[in-house]
Amino acid sequence: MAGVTLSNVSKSFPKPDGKGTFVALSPTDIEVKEGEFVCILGPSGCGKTTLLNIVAGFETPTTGTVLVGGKPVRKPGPERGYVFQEYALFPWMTIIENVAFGLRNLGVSGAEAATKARDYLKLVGLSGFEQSYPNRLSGGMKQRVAIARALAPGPDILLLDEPFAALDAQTRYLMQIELLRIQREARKTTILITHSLEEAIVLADRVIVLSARPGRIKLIETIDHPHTRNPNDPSMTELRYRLFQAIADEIAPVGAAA
Amino acid sequence: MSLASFETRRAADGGPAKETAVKLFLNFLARPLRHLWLLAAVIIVWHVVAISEIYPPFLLPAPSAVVQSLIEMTRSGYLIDNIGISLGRQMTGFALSVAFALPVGVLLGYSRAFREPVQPILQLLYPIPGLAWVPLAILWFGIGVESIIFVIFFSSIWPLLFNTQAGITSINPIYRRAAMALGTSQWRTFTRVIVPAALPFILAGLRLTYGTSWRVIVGAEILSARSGLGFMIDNARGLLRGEEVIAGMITIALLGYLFEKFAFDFLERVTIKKWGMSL
Repeated sequence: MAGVTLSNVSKSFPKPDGKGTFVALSPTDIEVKEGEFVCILGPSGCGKTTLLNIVAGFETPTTGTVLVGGKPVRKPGPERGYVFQEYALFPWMTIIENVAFGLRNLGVSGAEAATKARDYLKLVGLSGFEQSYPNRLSGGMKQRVAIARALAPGPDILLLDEPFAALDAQTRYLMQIELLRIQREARKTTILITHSLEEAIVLADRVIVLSARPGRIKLIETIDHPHTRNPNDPSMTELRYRLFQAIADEIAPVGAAA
Repeated sequence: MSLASFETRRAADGGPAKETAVKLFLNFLARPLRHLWLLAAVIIVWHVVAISEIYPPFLLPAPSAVVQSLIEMTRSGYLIDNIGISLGRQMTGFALSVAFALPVGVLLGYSRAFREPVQPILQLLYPIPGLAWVPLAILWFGIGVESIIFVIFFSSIWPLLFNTQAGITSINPIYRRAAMALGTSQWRTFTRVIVPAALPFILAGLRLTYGTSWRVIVGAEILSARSGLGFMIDNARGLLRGEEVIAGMITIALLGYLFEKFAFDFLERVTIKKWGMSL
């Protein structure tokens, strides 16, 4: 188990014309506590995926450091499970091979990896699909497999990049509830990127709102437990209002929003 | 309502279901007909023109003479022997092509340091047609199997080479990232992720390389061999046996078609089709 600490993390990219750089993410400090579920909410292009990619180790920050469990992040690693918006399952592997793949990388024997993979498929409610190939599965099922695959090597941290954005509304809500259950059960420190206010309310212990590019922290809201996890619950009205306002300001920066 | 229940209901009403069954059966018979009627017409026209003897039979033999020649050459073992010789050469050439083009194509796609110096050489060799290698091959190896395999090699490596390269460079980067996030070693990423992800392109390249190796062997055998299907055809030409020439060409067409159809369709069915990765 481990927390995540970002200190002074920023990211600049070279401009396409080669002249100078643009800032995708302003220097940012974030502390995610062990076992905490943090949602990072922001308009598109605000650098939220960049932020997650830096924690994952896919990208190196221009300034600052990321610590996971006290150790600096240099490259991707199995102690940080990553769930992609596009699932990124390997189409040439069966479901169980996909889930067992990370375990096999760690040197776990075939039989043991298969047993564990079966357990994780059970956890995400996909027992019986072990020998199927990903192309036989619906979007929601694929994302369950992707979550099982990320969990199987036993990461301390779970990173999810808009994991449910491609799903229809009902499936998305079911998956959110499911993810919450899994996260509670496995007690993983979780960072989830989303542009959906409802998703953040359903899932997060804490919501961090990023501003439009260059991204910087605009608002932090802690959601007290226990609550109903219903984004339309009357007790959520004020929180919804504040989050909406924070985002609306960014999409319509000329003060047009409500 | 499902189609099945619809049929049942119609059957219960009487008559019409029977009619549908007859229609289905006729459709089943008509399906190959829809694909083959033009071919049949061509053969009939060929037959009519041939038996009218507008052209002498050694120039335009009748289809029946060709079939007869096929049967005779099969009986005598002449055809089978030459098929075996040609197939053996082609398989050797094809195997060498794959052994070269697959790893080199992978490296071209994978490594910039490899691609930059090697690409110009390949780009200069590529425009040389396969048969233009024949004189050099004969000069170096003499008439015989070595020069034929040499020619097959330089004719057929290209599609697999460039397809493999394209397959590797066009892999969705998300697969690499997924592999990295799962702590996959470089070698395992290569064998379990990169190569399978490029497989749709690799299989397309294999198919083309196979087809090229088969097509070029006949030309190479005409120019540089004393056996094989190419030699057989050319020899028959010298003896003014038109029916043997055409019989040999039909053999080449059928063998090429059947092998490609069954071997490669099968390969695709058990891999990329099953995985939903078809191009």
